[in-house]
Amino acid sequence: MLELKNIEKSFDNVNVLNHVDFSVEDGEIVSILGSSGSGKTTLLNIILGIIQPDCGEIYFDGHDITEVSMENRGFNIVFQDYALFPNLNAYGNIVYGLKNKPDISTPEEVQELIELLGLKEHLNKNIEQLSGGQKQRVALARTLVMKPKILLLDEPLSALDGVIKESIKDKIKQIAKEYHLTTIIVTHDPEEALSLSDKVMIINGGTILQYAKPSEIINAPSDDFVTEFILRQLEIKRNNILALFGSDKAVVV
Amino acid sequence: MIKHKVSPQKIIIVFTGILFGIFLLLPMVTILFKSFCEDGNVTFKFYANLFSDGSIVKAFGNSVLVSSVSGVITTVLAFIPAYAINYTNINRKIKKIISTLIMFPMLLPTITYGFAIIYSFGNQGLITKFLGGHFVDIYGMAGLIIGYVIYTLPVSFMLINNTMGYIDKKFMIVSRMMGDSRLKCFLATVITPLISTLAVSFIQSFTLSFTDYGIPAALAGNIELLSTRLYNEMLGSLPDFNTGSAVSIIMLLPSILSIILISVLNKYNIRYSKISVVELSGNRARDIIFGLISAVIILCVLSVFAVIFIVPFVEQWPYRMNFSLEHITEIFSDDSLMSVCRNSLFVALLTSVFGTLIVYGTALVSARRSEHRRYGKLPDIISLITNTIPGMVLGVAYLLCFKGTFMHNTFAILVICNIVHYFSSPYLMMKSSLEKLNAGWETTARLMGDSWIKTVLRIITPNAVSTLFEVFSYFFVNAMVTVSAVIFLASTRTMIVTAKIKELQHFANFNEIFVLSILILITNLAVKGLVRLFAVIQKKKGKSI
Amino acid sequence: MKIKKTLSAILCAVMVLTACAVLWGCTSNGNEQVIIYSNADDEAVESMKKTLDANGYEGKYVFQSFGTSELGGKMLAEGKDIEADIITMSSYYIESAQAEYQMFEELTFDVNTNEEYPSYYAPFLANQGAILVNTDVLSANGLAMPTSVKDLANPEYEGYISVVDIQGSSTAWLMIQSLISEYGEDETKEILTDIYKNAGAHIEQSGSGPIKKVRAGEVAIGFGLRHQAVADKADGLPVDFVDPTEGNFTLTESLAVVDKGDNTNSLAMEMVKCIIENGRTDLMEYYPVPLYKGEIADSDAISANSKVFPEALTVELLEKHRSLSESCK
Repeated sequence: MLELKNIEKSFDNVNVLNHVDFSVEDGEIVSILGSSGSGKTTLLNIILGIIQPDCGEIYFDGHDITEVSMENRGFNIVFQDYALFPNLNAYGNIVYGLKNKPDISTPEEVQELIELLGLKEHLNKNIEQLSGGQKQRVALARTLVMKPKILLLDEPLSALDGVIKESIKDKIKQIAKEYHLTTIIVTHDPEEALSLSDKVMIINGGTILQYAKPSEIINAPSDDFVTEFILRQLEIKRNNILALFGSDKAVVV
Repeated sequence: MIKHKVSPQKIIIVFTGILFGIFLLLPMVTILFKSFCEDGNVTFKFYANLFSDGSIVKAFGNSVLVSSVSGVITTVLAFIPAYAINYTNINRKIKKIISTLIMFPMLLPTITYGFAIIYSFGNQGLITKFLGGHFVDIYGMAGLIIGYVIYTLPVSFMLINNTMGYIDKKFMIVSRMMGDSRLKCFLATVITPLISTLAVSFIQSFTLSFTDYGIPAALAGNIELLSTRLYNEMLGSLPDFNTGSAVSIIMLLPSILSIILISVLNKYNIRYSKISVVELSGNRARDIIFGLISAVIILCVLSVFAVIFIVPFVEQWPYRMNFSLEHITEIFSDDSLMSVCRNSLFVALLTSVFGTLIVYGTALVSARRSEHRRYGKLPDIISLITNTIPGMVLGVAYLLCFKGTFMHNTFAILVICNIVHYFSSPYLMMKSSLEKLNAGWETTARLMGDSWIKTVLRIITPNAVSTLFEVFSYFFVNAMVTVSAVIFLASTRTMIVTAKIKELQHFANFNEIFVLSILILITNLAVKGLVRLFAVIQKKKGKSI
Repeated sequence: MKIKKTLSAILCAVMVLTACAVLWGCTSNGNEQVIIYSNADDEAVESMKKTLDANGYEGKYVFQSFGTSELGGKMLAEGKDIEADIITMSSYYIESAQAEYQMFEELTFDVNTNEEYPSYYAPFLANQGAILVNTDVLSANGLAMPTSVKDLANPEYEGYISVVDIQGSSTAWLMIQSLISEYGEDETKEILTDIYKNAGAHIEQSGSGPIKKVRAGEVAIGFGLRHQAVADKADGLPVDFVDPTEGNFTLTESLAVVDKGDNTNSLAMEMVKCIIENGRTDLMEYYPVPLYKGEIADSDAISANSKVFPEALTVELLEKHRSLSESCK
């Protein structure tokens, strides 16, 4: 279990995070939802260990890891732009971490991951030859080989389109379930957050507005902001789509 | 998280700090001190002496005049091929040839230009003979201007060509749609966005000319320039190091001013959010005119250098014009000349190896995101300072600072001087290239268990290889052609080709001068060729996997 | 990853090697070749090299050439710290440097010169000044053949003459000495002013500047070293020389060994001795002025009108004449 207690952070006297206080259960998928400047990326970086909070503590499985360095926390991240290494092919990227920690995954486990993510026929491809979805899956595989205790995903779907987006969503859910992997996703897209996660944290101006299950957020928004900006957006989308299909069909859904 | 282990980034920065502290700050402080102090007392005597007889004012005025005229001519001339490349439908291959050939003078030392001009435009010169008459007096203003224009044309062209490439051509269509006349359209969509670059080109060309010693060494005639004055104060018949220091400081001032101006002007550069590829309107007349003028400019530049390849192969210029390899074999069997060539090669190699390492190390700290990035301010500042210091001033400062120390008369001082002198451009080149690489690599690799060094070796370096080679060849070529700083530092055991050419001038040994220049040229072409080849192989390798 | 490892190993090796090379460059100062700084012309240097090589010193020395003023400046600026072991230089400069720094060793062998010289240097050649002419250019432009240095001030020669600047080379001094000894300082000023006006951009910093321009046909007339014109003429080039009515003046060039205390290279003195004892015959072919007892000059090769400046030649005198020359520009 990951717990953040009373985290605060400011840059150049500007308060970016205020009394951030929450916990994530093992195996849960949690989305941090907010617009740009909301503090969500700072929060992600603090969990990952890239930056230090000004005050507050972070506990993982009961241990205080606030002072533990990024590489020793055992978490891992897939960046929005994947940060794949272009001088290596897909396979080279996937097994990159094994050069440093050869025993962390067995060859069978690596093969299993490759199968799971459907990368078998792309292993010898150059990074530039991969599509966006393939890149995302290679980056996921590369990270999962390291068996992270928590998987952090920074805007995992924003660079993808249409059908691929949905298939990656499924993969993320599948992985979290299969490996019982705690997954924290940062996103600005309410639809993504609410349809992908077990719990969603809505953050604005460095403060948590609501942290709850998607259904609770839809049914009981805690705040005007949540109603105005999150739910309205979804409603407009829904209405547009309903209008496309004709309202009678919508009732069935 | 905060471990009290010394990080490699810190080591790089401390090392850089010490290096530039000793080899940039210390010499510059020494020179400033020397110009204001005598026997421990502050005095303005040396400046007062300089100004009292008015000769320094005249030399300064001459330098400003020739450099300004050259700056204007260069900028106008450089505009034409740049326009031909960016705004005409000339065949791509021809464009490639234009932009390659115009860079040619960069591969030769400026000291060669002077002699090439004498043997081209002099009374018995190649071009004079070809055109059947003596039409320009090259000793003095005219010769200097020709030399400076040839010298600064490549730099000016690069600047203008670069900015033109980033001008959004779509605005031309918009302007024409709005009913602008051709002239107005040209002014509004080509000249206006270029104005600050044109000014930068002028200043850059001015500064290069103002601080160059190679061309006046051959062509100044009886015109005294600031650079020849500085040389005479330091290495002339009655050396006066204090006065020389004062002249150096005077030379430094316009340099500093121009760097400030350039940085201000760069802020006014119009930035287009996006460059759209636009089919240029067909206009054969325009294409032919600009193509032809560009060709003429390039031919003029190259024809001046033609003489280098002719004079040494003729028995006795200009009287016995039959082909002869006598001079060539003589030069190649002269061990002292060959050892000078080896020295140059040695210095250039060391300069490029260590220069590339230092530039790469510092750029890694300042360009890549990490908790050490703030230390990157130091190389940024160093780059700014080194950019303002003319080679001659640096050379004089080294001479004053390291005379009588163990560094005096060593290869090391030549190598370090070159690295400090040429630090700025390759550093900025490297930095901007590293900034473009994905910012998440280090974090990702660290999470995979990499140390910083490991990430640099496994990930960053393979992806920065082409820039590393560019930086390498920049250092190499410049170390081969530089005159101004090393002329004060080369000694008998560490004699290098450009300083040797200056020496050969005293004996009117033009055959040697031209053959050595050809050797420099061939070496530079070879290095450039190898780097190009490597880049191509790298690209192919990247594609084929 | 094996390849990567080998690559980085190679990279490290290269770096270490280059570092060593730099160190080698820094430290390779002791027990090395004798360094000879010289202001002498190519012909003189070649001749000295030939003599040294023939006597078993091949590869044991390095020549480094300078213009007279540059070498003079270096001597005055660096004194005993100078890199050179042997200096070949205009005698008056050696004398001044000795007076200032005591930087030269006493010669350890006897010199048998015609005239008396100080004991720390040995003259090895004498340079004579003369008027140089490109006969083709002269006749093509219908110019009269000059007979004296004073003639060069004649306005008809404007743009056709080249002279040396005394700021750059002491070859110019040969001309200025001839003017001052003949006409006195005041008249010399007037003549020099006109000569500089005629020379315009062809006031050369290097002593061989005028012969270079005469040879290349850039100018018709120059004032320079007599032997160079003699050689060009013999070589069949359209070059001739005129011994001016004011007389041909002479500057001697000498060899001296730099006193570096314990670090003095023992070979240096041997080499100087070798050049003086074995090299003179060869040098006389280019520089035919006799310096040592028993030497006889070829009657054609030396001017009949050789003269010596009444005052002793010193750097102070040079400086005096230099400012006189500057005032004429």
